[in-house]
Amino acid sequence: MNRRIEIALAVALAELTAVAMAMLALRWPQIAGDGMDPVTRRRLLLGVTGIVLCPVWLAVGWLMMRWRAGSSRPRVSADQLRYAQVGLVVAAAFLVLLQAWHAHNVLAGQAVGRETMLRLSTIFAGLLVAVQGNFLAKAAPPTGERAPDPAAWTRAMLRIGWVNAAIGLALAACAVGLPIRMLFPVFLGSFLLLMANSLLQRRGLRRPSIG
Amino acid sequence: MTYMNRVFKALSDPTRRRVLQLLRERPMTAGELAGHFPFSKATMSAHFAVLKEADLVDAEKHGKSITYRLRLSVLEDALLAFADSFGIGFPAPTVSKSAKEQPQ
Repeated sequence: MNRRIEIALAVALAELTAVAMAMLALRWPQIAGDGMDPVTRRRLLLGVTGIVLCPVWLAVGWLMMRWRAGSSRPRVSADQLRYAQVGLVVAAAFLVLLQAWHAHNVLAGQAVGRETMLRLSTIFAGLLVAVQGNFLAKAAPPTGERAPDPAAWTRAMLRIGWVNAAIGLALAACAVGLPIRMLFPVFLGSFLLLMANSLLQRRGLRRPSIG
Repeated sequence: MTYMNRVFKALSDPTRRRVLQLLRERPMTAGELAGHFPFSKATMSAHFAVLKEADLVDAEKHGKSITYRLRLSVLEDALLAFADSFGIGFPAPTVSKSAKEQPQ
């Protein structure tokens, strides 16, 4: 993996972890104590959990990328790895911003710009999916042991890319136009559709050709 | 010339679009691709060069032959479908194989 990208990810992970630890240290006595009504306690617990999960998301993404980069069955192409790395760095930068905003709200006991941030997060996720989908088939196919047929791989990536680009743009449009209470079901539905499509297309690649 | 200009230029020619459609089936050598068209090797080489310059195909050299592989983004695929549907562009003036082989 590119050394500069490794350093950028390590810095982002360290910052996210430091904020998460600080938030736990500052707010845990209140959550564990008795002088708080159940609704406020639950809200605070959810807020702190969201902040603590930020470094976990990044660490999981980073580990998965390292595992893919090191795997030789099949070996991912340099193009594919570069696209994934750029996506991870952009996502890390966004996680840092999101966590900072969230930490400010938890510390101040407010919900400043909650709706705006939720909408912005959904737009960001939609655009990231659309842009990554757009470039999916541009990358060279994997090579080595258990590598799929290059032509079938390119066709499958184009199909996945089309679906990703359409769902990503639709998600971004929904984030602008839909009422806020409908965003979560739309987000969840989009995520499930993306996963199902990707799994189906990749499963198709493993099938032996007939005839 | 900007990247999108190169893509538009590459997709504006029906022969180059046909090459991309053929590569959709599987990666092919320059010779295999040329076999589908009534043009000289020089003309086909010029078409391949335009496609490669626009980053729509990937060329890999194996010994004496060059294998081309499709390298399309979703946006480029959409532009290809659009240009194909509306039959945009006329084939560039070329020297056909038969005309070249005829005695003067």
